[in-house]
Amino acid sequence: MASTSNSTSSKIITLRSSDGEVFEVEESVALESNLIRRMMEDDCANNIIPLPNVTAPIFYLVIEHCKKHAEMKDNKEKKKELRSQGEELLKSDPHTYSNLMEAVNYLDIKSLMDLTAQWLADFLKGKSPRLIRELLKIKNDFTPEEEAEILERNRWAFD
Amino acid sequence: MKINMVEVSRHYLDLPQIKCHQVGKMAKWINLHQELLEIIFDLCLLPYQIRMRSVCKTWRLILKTPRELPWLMMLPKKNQEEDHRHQDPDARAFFSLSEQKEDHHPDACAFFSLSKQKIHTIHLPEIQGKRCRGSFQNGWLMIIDELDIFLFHPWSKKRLELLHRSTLDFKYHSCIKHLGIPYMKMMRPHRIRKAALSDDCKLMVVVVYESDMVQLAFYRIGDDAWTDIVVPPGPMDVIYHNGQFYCITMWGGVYLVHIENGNSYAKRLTENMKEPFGGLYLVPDMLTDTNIMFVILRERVTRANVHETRDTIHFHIYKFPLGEKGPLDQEKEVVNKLIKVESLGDRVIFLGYNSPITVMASEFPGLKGNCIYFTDDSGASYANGPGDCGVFNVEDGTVEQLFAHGYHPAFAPPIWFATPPYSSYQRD
Repeated sequence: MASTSNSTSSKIITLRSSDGEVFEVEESVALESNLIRRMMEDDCANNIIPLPNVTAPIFYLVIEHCKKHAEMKDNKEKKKELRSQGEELLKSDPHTYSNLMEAVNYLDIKSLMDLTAQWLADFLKGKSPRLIRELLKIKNDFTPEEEAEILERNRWAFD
Repeated sequence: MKINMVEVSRHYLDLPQIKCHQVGKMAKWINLHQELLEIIFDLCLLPYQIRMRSVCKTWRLILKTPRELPWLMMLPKKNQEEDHRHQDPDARAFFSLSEQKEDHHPDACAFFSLSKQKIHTIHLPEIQGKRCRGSFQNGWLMIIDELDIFLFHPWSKKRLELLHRSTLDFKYHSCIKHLGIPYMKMMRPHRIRKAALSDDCKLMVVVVYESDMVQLAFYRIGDDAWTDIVVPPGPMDVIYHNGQFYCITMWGGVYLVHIENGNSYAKRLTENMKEPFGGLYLVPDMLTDTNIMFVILRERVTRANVHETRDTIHFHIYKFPLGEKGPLDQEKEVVNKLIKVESLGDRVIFLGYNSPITVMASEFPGLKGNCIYFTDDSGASYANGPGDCGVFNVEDGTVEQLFAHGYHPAFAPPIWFATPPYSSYQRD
């Protein structure tokens, strides 16, 4: 299930997630990650590369995003598709999305970092602090007085 | 193979090991790597940054809103109208500079951030095809078209209706007799030259063109008509500062305009200028000394071979003291002389249809002090080429074009928009 190899003959890199699952990934996809690139340059290429900070489901998501991203170059339709999938994940499961962002940051994948950050920024656009808390499941730790003061100072920024 | 990422994540989240992991779910966003939060924060517009900072204490602590220079607001044009100008290659080139060009929409209002060198586009159908004749310190705009006049706040989208324009129509009917009512209606948006608004948004004074003269008129929210202010005659600019309205006439005389219970009176503060030939602006020195008022004269010349288009070539700067306790407290009328100013020091002033904005250059990395950033407020047609927008360097007297590509807005002159750190939004 976790294997992402296909019939092409490109080189396969083997990686192990923090929860012990082993992934076989095409080199071209794996090299999107600057972290993996650096590890391979340090001559780990023939061994299984450990990823102690990334769990299997999140790593699976990262790989799928990388693949899609490679496909979407110069393809507007694909770009839209990837974006709407990212947005859907953000809406339905913000927790996983935050894990995805952390993993992308850890793996140092610039292109995905830009995309996932932009989607989240667009998602936050126009939403009130209350709605942001509700959707992202963040606890409001301001006292009512503090909140009233913030609102008074920045009334223009709120609806 | 099409992969539904939501399904994938759901599938995995059913695994027992993941369920254990979910215990910390609530706090995850708050603990999101500081660097990541900052990247996202940086992608957001100022109002949304302020909202993000209001989500929780951790975010408030980590995320700091940088002070921004005023934004240059470019109004959306009307649908279909003036479409040929939308095709302007310069305009296209300009917009292609924008990183957010995908968001660009024909009726989106474009805000150019000088600090970030980036265009923020905001969908504002409320002011599409209308004109802006006032951009105030607190972020409110005065919006005018042939039918309506109202105050509008772009972020909250709040709208305060002012009195229907017809009460501001020409009272002297010589024009109407000759040119008819359609002409009069067409001219409505062009009749207000300048506007000033009180801090509580309840009282405003405008410089308004009559058929053959210019005068002031005021309106208080709830009034059933605009009221003429007859003295001083020939007003050029009006501002609101420290609870008072000030006005400068076309002869360069500065007046305090006091409005009370539907009546108004004016008190002269300065002598007339010797050669007041050009645009005149009042700029209170809000940053260093509230007792000083700058008077700025804008010198323009007609552009060679272009009808009705003029370019700014110089700004002459003067100042006078407003007095210790403010001009109203002075028993005797003290008429000040204007004193020539050779340098603005660290100050940078933004002029145009907006209420004047002053910033200290040293507070903004990369900004050069002793400069005036100006936009076109001459009411000239925009069919004639790039508008008169630029940066005047007081030190060496040079003018640099604001838009390197010769871009000019398709519909109306751009206007400086005060991002709130200057006024209502206090830093903490």
